[in-house]
Amino acid sequence: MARMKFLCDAERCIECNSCVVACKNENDVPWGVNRRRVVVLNDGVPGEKSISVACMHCTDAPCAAVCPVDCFYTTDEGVVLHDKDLCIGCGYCFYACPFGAPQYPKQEAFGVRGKMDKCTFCAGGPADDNSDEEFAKYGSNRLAQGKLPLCAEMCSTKALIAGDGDMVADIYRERVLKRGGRPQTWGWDAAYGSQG
Amino acid sequence: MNKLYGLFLGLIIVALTGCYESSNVTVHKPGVYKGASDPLLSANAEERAGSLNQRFKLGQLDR
Amino acid sequence: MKLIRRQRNSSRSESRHVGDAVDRRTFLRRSGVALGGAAMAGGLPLSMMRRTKAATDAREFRPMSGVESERIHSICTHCSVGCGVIAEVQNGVWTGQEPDFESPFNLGGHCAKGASVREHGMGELRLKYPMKLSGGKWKRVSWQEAIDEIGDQMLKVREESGPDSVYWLGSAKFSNEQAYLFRKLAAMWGSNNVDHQARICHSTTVAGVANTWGYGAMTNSYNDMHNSKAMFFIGSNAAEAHPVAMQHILRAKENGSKMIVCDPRFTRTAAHADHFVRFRPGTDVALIWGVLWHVFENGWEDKEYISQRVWGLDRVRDEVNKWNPAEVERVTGASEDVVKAAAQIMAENRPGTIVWCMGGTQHTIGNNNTRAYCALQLALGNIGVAGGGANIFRGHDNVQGATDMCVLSHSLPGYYGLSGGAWAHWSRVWDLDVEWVKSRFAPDEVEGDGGKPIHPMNYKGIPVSRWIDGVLEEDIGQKDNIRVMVLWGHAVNSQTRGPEMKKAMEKLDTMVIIDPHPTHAAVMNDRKEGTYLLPAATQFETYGSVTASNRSLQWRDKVIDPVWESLPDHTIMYKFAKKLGVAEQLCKHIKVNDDEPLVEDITLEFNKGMWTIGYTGQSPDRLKSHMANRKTFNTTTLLAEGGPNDGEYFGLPWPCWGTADMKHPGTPVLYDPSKPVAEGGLTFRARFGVERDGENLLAEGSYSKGSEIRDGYPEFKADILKQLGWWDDLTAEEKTAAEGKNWKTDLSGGIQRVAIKHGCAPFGNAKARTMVWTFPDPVPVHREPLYTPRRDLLKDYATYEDRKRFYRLPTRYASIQTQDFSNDFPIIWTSGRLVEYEGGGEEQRSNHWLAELQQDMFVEINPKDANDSGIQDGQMVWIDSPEGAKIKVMAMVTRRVAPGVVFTPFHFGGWYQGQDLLAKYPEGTAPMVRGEACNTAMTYGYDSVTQMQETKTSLCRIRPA
Ligand code: SF4
Ligand code: SF4
Ligand code: SF4
Repeated sequence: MARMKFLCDAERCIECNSCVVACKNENDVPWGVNRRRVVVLNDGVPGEKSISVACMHCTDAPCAAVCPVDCFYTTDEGVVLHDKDLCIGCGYCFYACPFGAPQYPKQEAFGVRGKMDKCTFCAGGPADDNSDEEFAKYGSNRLAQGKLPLCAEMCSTKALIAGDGDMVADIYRERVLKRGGRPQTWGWDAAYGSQG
Repeated sequence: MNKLYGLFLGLIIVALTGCYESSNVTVHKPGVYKGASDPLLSANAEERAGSLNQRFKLGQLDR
Repeated sequence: MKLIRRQRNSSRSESRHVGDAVDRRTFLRRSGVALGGAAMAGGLPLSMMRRTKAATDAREFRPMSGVESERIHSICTHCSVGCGVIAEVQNGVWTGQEPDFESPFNLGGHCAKGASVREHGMGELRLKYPMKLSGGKWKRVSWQEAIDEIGDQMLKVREESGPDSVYWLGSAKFSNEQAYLFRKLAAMWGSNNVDHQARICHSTTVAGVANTWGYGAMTNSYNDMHNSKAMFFIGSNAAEAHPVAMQHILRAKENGSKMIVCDPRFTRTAAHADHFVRFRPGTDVALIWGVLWHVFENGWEDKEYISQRVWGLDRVRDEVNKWNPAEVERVTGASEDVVKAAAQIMAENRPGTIVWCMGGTQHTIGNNNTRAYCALQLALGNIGVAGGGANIFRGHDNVQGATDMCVLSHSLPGYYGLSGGAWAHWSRVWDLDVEWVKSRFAPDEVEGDGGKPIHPMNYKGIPVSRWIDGVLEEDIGQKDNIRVMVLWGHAVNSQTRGPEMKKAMEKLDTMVIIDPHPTHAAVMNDRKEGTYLLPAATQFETYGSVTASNRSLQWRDKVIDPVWESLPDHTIMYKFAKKLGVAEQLCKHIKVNDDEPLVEDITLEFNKGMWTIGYTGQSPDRLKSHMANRKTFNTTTLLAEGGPNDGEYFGLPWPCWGTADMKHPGTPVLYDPSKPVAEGGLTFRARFGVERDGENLLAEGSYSKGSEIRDGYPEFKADILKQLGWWDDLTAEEKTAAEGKNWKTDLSGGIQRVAIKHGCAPFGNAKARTMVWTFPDPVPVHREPLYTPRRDLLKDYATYEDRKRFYRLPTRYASIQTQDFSNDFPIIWTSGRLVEYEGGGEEQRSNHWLAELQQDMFVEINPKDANDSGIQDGQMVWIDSPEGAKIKVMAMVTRRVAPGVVFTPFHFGGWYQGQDLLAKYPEGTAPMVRGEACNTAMTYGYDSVTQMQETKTSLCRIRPA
């Protein structure tokens, strides 16, 4: 069975933010909430690298382990999703997450955090697939339509790859082989364990 | 930077949640999903894998 | 919990004081901005509701479950890469965007801008209906009222001051059809005061490159870079300006290509380079000659290629000899080892390509820079080969097409120029009497650029870079100053000298802004009356062809109906033509439905006249077929492999010779003799005569594959066909049409057909020339910028003398350079791009997904300069210009720029000298992100051939605000 994973190839990422915008466009994510963001290392000096980061859909997701209301579940493909009706916006998962993925939209009333929002691997959430309700709460459900996350599908340079972990690793291995040098699979150990 | 930012937000959150400690948190056994069921799960992931892999080849390879 | 799009609250305030280390993203995310404009978007009054079936609430732009969705294919409108866009439309509302995996250009990829184009269909902050400024207030008017009032004004000014007092500023955002119609409309109006963005982006390229080997366009393609063994970028920041091009560039790099980036800044492109050369802004010629010095010194030039295909390189060698490593370092700051390494990489890795953009073109010596780049490539034998070439990345999505249609003050479509012959040619295509066309112009001759009298019809008009001087200067080459300014799809914040522009705007009788947004032009002045805003539709609300940087034409389909009351540009043009009494002539052979000229008819009309550059074979039917079968084209060669377009190149890159019936496949790589001309091969164009100084200008021993003439030859004319005994290959009809004509003016295409049948290029087979004897500097030389900190170099590298009349205007050089500003304004100032924004940025700063990512206008400043001036990261600073203007921006302290150099992006607008102009926008149209336009404080300086403005090198002073 396919085990869905993300990988950002830092040699290809040019920090164009297409992935960030594609995500907003596809999932109707409001201003101020970023399910995906681009992080830059060594900005402006030789060695500058950028990587695009969102929820990595961890094996043994740390966020799920700390959630006081148990709103997380993992799909057969390894996608980590949550139920917004259950979420109390406590923020524990943000604290647990090694990637800073969970986001909390501000509610109209000041001071109260909104329900947690994060990358769904474009797989919606616990509501009828591609229903208006699912879209309003979780955004698009591309997996149910046989499509992959739009951020990766629209990446300008195919730096961001999403799909079955083995196929992702194959592409990446091939590129590394061509380029020479050591593979740097940013975040893979933290997300998927050292065996990848 | 990101870590610091995370830490900082984390601290705020911990501080804030402290004020709400007594709110009605569900008593639970850790690790068992309590939410609504996702229809995506009942759909056959095996079957879907084929079309997703097809899609992967379409979009993620350099062609 | 619902995600509500209109919620604009940013969480940034929380993180404002976190951490010290900054990258640009973090920097921008934590800087604050008032979202005043956006807040007004909610709760629109009923009268402002969308008039079409489009939705009225942001939530209605969400995909609707259970509603059928249509997939429509279009092309991104934000840059010349030409990425395919797939729109999903439900009930006439644009509810989704999908990657276009089938496009050989982007393979599904987009940059941030391309990923956001769906927002055009929401159009929250668009200009919603025609408006006029009356008593200092914006007032809604009907289209009819607006056109009538503006038309009456124009006719009055025409009566009093002549047709040249109305300026038609067009756009690189037009489709080819609209660009062509616009140029024709200006001709029908009777003025050459027509121009567009190409003047201020690549005009020096077009002039310099066309004068070197024939055509002024990108020679190869983004895709062809897969074949490059070396890539030399100078003044190009592709990672931000042409992001999807990086897909091809990084693929090349994975294939082993070496990547060199020469730039004053360590750009995001440089971050991917194998070799980075930092040099002082404005010293490109010195740097390139420095590279060439090593090439010559080590005998790395391609001697056979040069003897066969290049003329004048000895003259270049004489100049290059002066540029020994010490002198190069003295002028550019780049050391010998760094420059030599670049030369060696290029020498050892052939074919290599050179890429340049605005960093090279926007200088007083821009034309010298572009010719120097060409000379380097010619010396290395890199032009006319796959993987080589001069890959000149154009800017706007259709700036190549609009340039080809010559929305330019110095030429008719197809670069025919403004001579009597050019007018005769186009009048024939238009089926109009050339005398009638002439009667539309001012009747009296004026004193021309060289001092000789010239008829206004043949006299180059005022260029867009200088329109303000056309309003303000006293002694100009036309009857009266400009009094009516039509700013059609143009961002004035991309032009320099803000305070003078403001003054010019206030002096105009009438100012007309036709655009999807009000633009910076609507708010930066203090006019109280006589400004009109007309809402134009975007290219997603209409259809037609668009030319990507690689000369491929693509066909856009219409995604949605025009939103609000906006109209497609060609419809607006027709409405003006009707009011001005030239509609019948404008659309003599073009069908018009309900004021909308039929797009396909316009394509077919320019197909009939654009012989010079081969825009004749790309009929709408062929283009549509290419779009439908785009997945059959190879992503490296762009050649269709099987399918209905088998053997053709994607988008029929021009020249696509002859008529559409001839089925020429297009030319993927210019001047590549390894293929027959009939299959896309080519030679260098014989454009400059057959000999010079007793030397042969035609190619020697080099010819395209299958050529029956196995040597150089001049361009084809009827007479030459006869001499060669090929005349009888023409049909009887073709003979009638071709008699007395040449390959450019034979409307039957017979001469081109027969030349190609015999394996020859219709435009001849010559050498490229590296010395342009008609230019101010025949061999490119270095000249210091007008505002230079290096007074010590002036004795060797001074600028030009002032000119009395140049494109109708007095133009200053020495009188500025001789003044010393370097003590009070010690810092070199350069400008450039951000990936999220484009051009003047109106569309992107009004797009909530993009605006969120870049919220503040900023200046990059090196830690050393920041410390010297007592400036901290994130603080507001003033940038003062030597001409007296100042702008207030946020400081970003970074080593991306060298000490002594600062950089600003140029996409911001809506502020003027420290003031937010929010209150001056019509309600609900202000971009969410506003900021100081850097060009407000950019200074004087224009290229010596094309009047390109200097925006890449000036001086400034920075102080805390
Ligand atoms: S990345 Fe963070 S939010 Fe996503 S599964 Fe892992 S711990 Fe959870
Ligand atoms: S779209 Fe791709 S290249 Fe652009 S920032 Fe995202 S991961 Fe990087
Ligand atoms: S702006 Fe250019 S690179 Fe970006 S999506 Fe559009 S065409 Fe492609």
